[in-house]
Amino acid sequence: MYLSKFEEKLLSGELGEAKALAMKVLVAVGEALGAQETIEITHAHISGISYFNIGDAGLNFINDLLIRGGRVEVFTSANPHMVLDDFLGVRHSDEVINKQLAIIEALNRLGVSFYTCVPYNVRPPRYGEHLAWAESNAVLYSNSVLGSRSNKEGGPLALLAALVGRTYKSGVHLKDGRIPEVLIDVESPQSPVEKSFLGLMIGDLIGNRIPYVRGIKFSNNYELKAFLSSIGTSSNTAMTVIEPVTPDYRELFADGDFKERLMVTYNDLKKYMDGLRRELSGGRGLYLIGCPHLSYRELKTVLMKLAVMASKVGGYTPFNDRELWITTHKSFLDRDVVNMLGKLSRYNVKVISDGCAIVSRIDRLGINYMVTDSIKACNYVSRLSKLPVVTVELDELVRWYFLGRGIEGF
Amino acid sequence: MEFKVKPLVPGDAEGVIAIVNKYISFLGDIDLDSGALSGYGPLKGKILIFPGSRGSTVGPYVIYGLSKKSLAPNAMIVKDLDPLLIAGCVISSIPLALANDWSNLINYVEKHCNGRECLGKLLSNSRVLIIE
Repeated sequence: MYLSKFEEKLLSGELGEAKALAMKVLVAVGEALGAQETIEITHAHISGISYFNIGDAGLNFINDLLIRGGRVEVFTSANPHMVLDDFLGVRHSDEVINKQLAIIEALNRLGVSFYTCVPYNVRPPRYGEHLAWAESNAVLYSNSVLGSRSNKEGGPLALLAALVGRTYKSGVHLKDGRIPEVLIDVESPQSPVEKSFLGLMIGDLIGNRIPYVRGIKFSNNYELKAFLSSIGTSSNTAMTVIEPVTPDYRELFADGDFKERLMVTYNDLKKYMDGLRRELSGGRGLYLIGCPHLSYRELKTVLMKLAVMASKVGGYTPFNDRELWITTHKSFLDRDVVNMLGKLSRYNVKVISDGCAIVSRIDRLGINYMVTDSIKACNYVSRLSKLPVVTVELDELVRWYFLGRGIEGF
Repeated sequence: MEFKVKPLVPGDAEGVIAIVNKYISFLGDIDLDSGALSGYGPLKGKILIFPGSRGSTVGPYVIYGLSKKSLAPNAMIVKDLDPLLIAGCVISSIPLALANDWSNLINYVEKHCNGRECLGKLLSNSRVLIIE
């Protein structure tokens, strides 16, 4: 791998031990993957910051980087951490919460600017920017919607890239690494959840290849985010070319190297979804909106929906067996939002800023079941927290929460 | 017996061969306090031969945690290339190499090192793993 004079300096430790270690990792990984050189990045986004995920080993690693003089070289954000709030009065132990706070403190000192899984809603990269992002839904959004470029830099890779402001040049950083290999024609479903399931199904079909998808129509960005996050749940691909959403989709189509062509009809999708239908048990329920995190506009739309439904309930329904969490980034909590929330707090509606239910082992909070409109959340919470979870449409979730729930979803 | 390897994280190492012919998930398959791999036992000081790692991206931190506690293997030889395993080995200073002929290596080791301790030596510059 070719290294510039500056990169040689980084590697030699002249600019600090932490940067030398970061450079060493990038070179080892880059050489193994056949990269010829590195590429400068404008924004790093770190995943794996929940104490439940990385544990003491991860906390120690981040602290060791600090001790060895680590400091980010470029704009850096990170994924949301575990939820620090209580559920119906039940919180994680002080020990766990303190460890999580220690991780956040160490990351802050390294120079992390904010915590959310939608860095593109807080600091949207421009077309053509090179990034080192680790969160799957964000990587897919960058490559497929914005035309900025990032591989999926798992584990400590994004963190180490942040310390040196560069990453190895391979995958989607190269023109050849963005060529779609599977052509998928779809019959566009109507509802948001159906579109998400189509994403999950596509992810199952493609493995790690880049698909070219045509025929699907999105009514808004919320649906698009959900679709991509679902693909990221069932596949490792960093990019999905969507006609006509992806910038350069015409060129990418022309360059396509389609070894496989698939057709997914609405009927195929329905069958796939029927196989995933399930019933819900009773007990204390968490209703979750905001996976991936809501943008400011999405947050206000959701709060509006909730306010309308709350006005139909009156004051008599007891809310002692459920909470509704909306996960988002804290910069979106302006005065308007706080006012709207104030009127909803008696219904146990909470905005959880910078937190994520998936990485929070919510089973330890006395939660017996979860309802969400996110396939990604459904998938991971049922696996990581081993709770019964169903996915329903957003409007249905809101209706269930305020007016009484059904028993079946996906 | 000599086996050709491709060093991914350069370095020389010696140790008893530990053969684990299945993919390892570092988060879940390994006990962080004892450094024992489930179904195998402690990995400390071993030359660990396994096809590759799978699952969680937390793996590198687990390897780092093991090495800080001096519970990590002395080297790893794998079949599959995995950026996260490379990262984990670099931050933990553990030599890592790719076996050129995996099935040959695994056949030999399973035959000769079954029931007795085999000593292995990884020489990164010569790109070989020598099994005694």
